[in-house]
Amino acid sequence: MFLALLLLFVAALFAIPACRRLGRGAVWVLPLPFVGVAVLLGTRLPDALHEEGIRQSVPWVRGLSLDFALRLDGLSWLFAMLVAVIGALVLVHASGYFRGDSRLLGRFAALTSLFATAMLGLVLADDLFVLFVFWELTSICSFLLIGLKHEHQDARDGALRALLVTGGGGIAMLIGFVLLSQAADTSSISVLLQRGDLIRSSSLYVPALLLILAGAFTKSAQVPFHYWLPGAMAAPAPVSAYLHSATLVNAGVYLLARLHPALGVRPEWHWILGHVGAVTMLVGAAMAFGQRDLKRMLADTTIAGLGTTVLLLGIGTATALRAALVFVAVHALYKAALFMVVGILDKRTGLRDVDRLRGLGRSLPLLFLTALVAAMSMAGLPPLVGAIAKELVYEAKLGAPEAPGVLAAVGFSANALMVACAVLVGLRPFIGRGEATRVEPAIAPVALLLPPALLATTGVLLGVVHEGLMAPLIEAAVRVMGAEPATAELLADTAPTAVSWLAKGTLFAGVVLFVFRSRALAWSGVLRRGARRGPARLHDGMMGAVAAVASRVADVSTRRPVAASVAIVGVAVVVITGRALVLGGLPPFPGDRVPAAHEFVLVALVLAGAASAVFSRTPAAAVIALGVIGVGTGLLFLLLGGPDLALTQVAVDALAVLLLLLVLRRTRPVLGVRKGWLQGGLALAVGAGFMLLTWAAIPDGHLRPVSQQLSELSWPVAYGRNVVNVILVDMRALDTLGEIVVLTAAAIGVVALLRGGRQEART
Amino acid sequence: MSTPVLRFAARSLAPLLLVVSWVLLTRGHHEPGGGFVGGLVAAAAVVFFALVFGEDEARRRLPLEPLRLAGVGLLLALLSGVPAALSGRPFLSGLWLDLALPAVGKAGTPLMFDVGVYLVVVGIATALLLELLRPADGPEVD
Repeated sequence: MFLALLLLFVAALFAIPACRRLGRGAVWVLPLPFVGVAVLLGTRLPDALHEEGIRQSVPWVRGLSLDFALRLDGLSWLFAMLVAVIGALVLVHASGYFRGDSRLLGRFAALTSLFATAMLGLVLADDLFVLFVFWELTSICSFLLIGLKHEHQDARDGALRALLVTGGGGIAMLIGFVLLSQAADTSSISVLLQRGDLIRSSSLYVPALLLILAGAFTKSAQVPFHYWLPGAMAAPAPVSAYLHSATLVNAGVYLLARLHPALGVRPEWHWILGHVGAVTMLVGAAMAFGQRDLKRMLADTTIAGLGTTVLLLGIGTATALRAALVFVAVHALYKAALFMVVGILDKRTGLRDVDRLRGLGRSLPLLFLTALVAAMSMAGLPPLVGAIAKELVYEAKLGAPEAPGVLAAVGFSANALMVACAVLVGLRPFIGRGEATRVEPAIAPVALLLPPALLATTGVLLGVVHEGLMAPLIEAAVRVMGAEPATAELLADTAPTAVSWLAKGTLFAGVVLFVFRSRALAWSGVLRRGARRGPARLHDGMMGAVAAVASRVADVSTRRPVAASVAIVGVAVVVITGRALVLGGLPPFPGDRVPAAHEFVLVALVLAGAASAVFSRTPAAAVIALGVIGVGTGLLFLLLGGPDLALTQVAVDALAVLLLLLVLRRTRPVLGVRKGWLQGGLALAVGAGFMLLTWAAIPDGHLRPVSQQLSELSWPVAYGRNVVNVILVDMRALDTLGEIVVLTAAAIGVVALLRGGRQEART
Repeated sequence: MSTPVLRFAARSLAPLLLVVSWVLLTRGHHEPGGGFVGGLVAAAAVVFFALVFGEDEARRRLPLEPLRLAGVGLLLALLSGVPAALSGRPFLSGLWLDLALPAVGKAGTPLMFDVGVYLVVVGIATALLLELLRPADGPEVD
């Protein structure tokens, strides 16, 4: 399993050069790592389905007894396989979609491979904190992928919104994980799952549950956090086909399924998951039905599908868990296919509007067939696998311990809307005559069309031979989730009549909705708009408020002259620390060495520099005088036995003087500093305060300074005689790494600001 | 700012400063020096050159765009922690090889880390200064 992760990670590293070097040939290479992972998973299937599956771990953080632990069992196998298979197909599709732009393809392939690494790690993780790390990595990758075309404002907005929502949820989830691991006294998921009773009786259960649900619900786009998903549709179609059908949005669902044995039997769980799931299902389906943009419609139906899954997990019977897993797999297959279909439509016609696309079946017969088959699975028509999922879902809802009637009714409404959407996506654009839609010639028809066609075919295949292919896997997964399925078969030979009538009724109601779409839309417009825009408005309002507060603070803190700010900071530091000095008293003056004559000379030089800085007439002259102070101080350091300090001081000073001069050249500063007695007195007082502080900080002997210990360790431990450098690059290397990261980030920001100002000046 | 004397000085001193910076870097483990100071000196060399021959010419002489140089440095520093992590020690533990490389001295991951620091410092210092040296469209004060 480590091998699988490594494979995808290496693929991410080499994707960009591969695309640049191979051009069109990249289509043969990019999916290979994913195929490798799929094969790897395939060979481990028997072991994974056996009992608790395969577990591997290496020590990670010894001090916290944290292991980098992975676990492959029925549940993680299902999700991991989706990551690998759909990933491979999406890369083939994308190499057609981005044909002619190998830079964009390279970025897409690299980020997708990195995302797949994170997603695979997430579903394989056997430790809460390992899972969290991969969880955050998926959020970051999704941010970058949604914003793939970062020149577009809506892509950047959508990406940022997705990041803020899922990232915020992730932080809540981390706190939830900490509480959970305290309740269970372990962060290992395998161990934790066996301590369900301990966890459920803990007083930490409710806060942990709520926080973890916040993470899962934001990621899986549950109401009221659903609004980021439609915004993410600014992403190119291949991104949506991967992230928003089978992988990213499933992360929350996976987490709930994984933790079901530990968190899942208390009433709070049933109540929250049941209500949130049901509302999300209905809201998503209603929003989808009202969409004209096909891609957004698919995004909304994804919300509905995720709601369905969460609802099923909330019901929590063995049948419901089984239905949830089958539905996840089915949904991934048809939704990825449909996203690709809509991407192709968009590419060939430039349109995604369901009310304008007409009669494309004649010019795009194969695409029509693919769309139709995928949409049939979505609608739940036999013999497609979607029909099985739908019957299972109905069976689960009717078998729910509480309110089966309500659940079936809500499910019926949502499903009827989904059927109508399936017709709108899979049939409507291809039939009828209307205004002729211009069809661009295909650029890479095979690479574009083959992946969705394969996915649709898989839907047929699984529908026909579902017992042999899916039943054992689903059964093993349900067992890992702590439930015992009553039968080995997915579907009983004779489905209860209620179920089959509901399934048929849904189809009928869906077609009726499709036919009377415009009337239904007019009737329900306000509700749908509220659902679509309400939370998003709230989000934007909050973000706007944050920005407004920030700019107020910036205003207040920067509107006065720089000199005043400097004075405030200096006085504050001296007053706050001076209080401690007064209370604690000064240590005796250290040392009784009489300074040598040349030291007096250097001190005089520094003082002269300071004086000429104060009395110089132009800013440039003041800066140069500051340079004199720097050099004098550097020489003092050198004479007093700090050669490293001296070198650095002089080098920094030389560049700093240059930097200041260049900045002055650009900004024409207003030297509004009055040089009166008040300013002079203030400056002297602050200077004296800092001197006393330094004096107080000199060790007085009864504490052993840490520098002494480090000097003693330097040679035997780090084989270096220069302790300053040893501290920087060895003993405290992690600190230094952090510092250079911050430094680079700051430099990027400064360069961007300088360039940004330039462009504004030009236009 | 380009008199014959300055041109001569820049042409001969800039490479010398670069050599000095490398020496500072490699001797840093035992004697005063190290990646940070070395990087500053190297940046000074580049900027000196740029002051005389122009920012364009200096950019052309650099092997990589300054910010990319910093990126490469970050990557080097990060990767220098990996061997230790792979051999079961804490990330970034210093590991030394028993061989000396030409122009570098004793090889080990702390040195690699220091080279990373060096490149980051060169990269960001030259990035900022060259950006400021670019002929400005804004107000100029001479």
